[in-house]
Amino acid sequence: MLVNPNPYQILVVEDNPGDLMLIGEYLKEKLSVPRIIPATTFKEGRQIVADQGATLQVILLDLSLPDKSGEELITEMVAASGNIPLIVLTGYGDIAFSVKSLSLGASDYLVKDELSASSLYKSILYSMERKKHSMELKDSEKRYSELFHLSPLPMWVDDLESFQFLNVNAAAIDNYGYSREEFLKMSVLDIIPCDEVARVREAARRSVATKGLLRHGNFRNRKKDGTLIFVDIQSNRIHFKGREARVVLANDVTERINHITAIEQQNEKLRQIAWTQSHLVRAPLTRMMGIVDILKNFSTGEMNREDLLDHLISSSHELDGIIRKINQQTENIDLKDGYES
Amino acid sequence: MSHEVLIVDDDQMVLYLHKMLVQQSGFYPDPRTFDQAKEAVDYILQGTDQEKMYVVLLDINMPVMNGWEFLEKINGSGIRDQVLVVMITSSIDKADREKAAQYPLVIDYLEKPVNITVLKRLRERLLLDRFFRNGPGDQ
Repeated sequence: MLVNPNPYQILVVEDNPGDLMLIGEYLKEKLSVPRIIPATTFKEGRQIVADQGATLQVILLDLSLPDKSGEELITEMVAASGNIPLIVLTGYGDIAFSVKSLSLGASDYLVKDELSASSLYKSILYSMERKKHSMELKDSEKRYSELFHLSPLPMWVDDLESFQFLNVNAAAIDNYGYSREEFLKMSVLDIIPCDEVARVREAARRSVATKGLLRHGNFRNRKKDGTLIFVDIQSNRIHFKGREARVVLANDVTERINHITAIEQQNEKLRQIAWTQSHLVRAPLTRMMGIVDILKNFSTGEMNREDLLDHLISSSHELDGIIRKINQQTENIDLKDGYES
Repeated sequence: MSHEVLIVDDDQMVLYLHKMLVQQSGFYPDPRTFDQAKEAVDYILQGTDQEKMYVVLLDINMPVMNGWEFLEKINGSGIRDQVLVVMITSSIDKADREKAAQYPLVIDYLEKPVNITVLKRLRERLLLDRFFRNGPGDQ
């Protein structure tokens, strides 16, 4: 077998000098550059991890040390070692416990009396590789969890059968005003007005029937303080802790909708003004034009000239009044005005 | 066949002006004026002469009963074949003109102010249509 040319820095926590020497021999057989850092007590070992942890590839730990042993030793060493794989070395008498050590976080265990260069080497390589993968997995989980929790848009996960909230992100907590704990005790049905229940159930049915992203449109939701908001809902199916669930994006579009309503209200006011222009303004105006026509072209009939002139004056005042009123209406049109109402 | 011209407008001054123009243009010597559309409807419905034609110069924008309601009332009555309507309105709203065109009994749509030339032209048109062949307007 070829000798591994990579440099390895290995902490060996072992109080028996004979065992330490043997381990050293085995390592030299398989590794061209093993650098062994010896420690004889838990305390010493932990100090080395604290000082040089970043440069260590693996820790070999004897199960019985003068200052600590057994479960307590493993638990504390695992906690101290962080990302570094930990291999437990044990005698025959401790085999039952060795198995338990794996569940406490050790990467592997080796029985000293059966130790050989190749079994030690293999265990080191396997442990390092496994640790790497599990770190990557943890990293990836963390990234996805952050995508959810740090998303600027409110999101939650809810159970497709019970509508129970299974998870909520910070933006949702912020937007709705419920704490995380409050959310997790509620269901989606608790944050919608009664008349939206049928639509929400229908949306859930669609979610059950469809794989992939679904756009459900706008729903009304209620915040903790009672305020009604409009949210644009999109969802996608996921399995969450063994349950059929969906991850929901609830984009608050209240402001946008209020703006649209305000604009529609303005349009209505403008229509009213246009109507006034067309109908009311022209009434006195056409009357004046008619009177002038008569005065100019005809004998005035039953009415005398003075009366017609009086009508002309009163019509012009009427016209003036209407134009002032229109002007006032136009000034009253204000985006903020409509927005707040 | 006899005929009669009615002027319907809530504005007394307009009634006076239109009456004068109708007379001066030779359209009709003695038009009857109504400042309430409802009264004009009642007048037409109470008529007993089944041969008589009514030409109504009708304003749109009026309180209580407006021009559209007037048209609906007449349109829904048995007398509608005896009524011809000329809308005369201060509205320059296109929608009003389009709406008026949907009533078969509306034969023209005039924007205020109307003058003597417009009324003479309307009279000639009605003569050509032979509505006035035997009536007093043809004298």
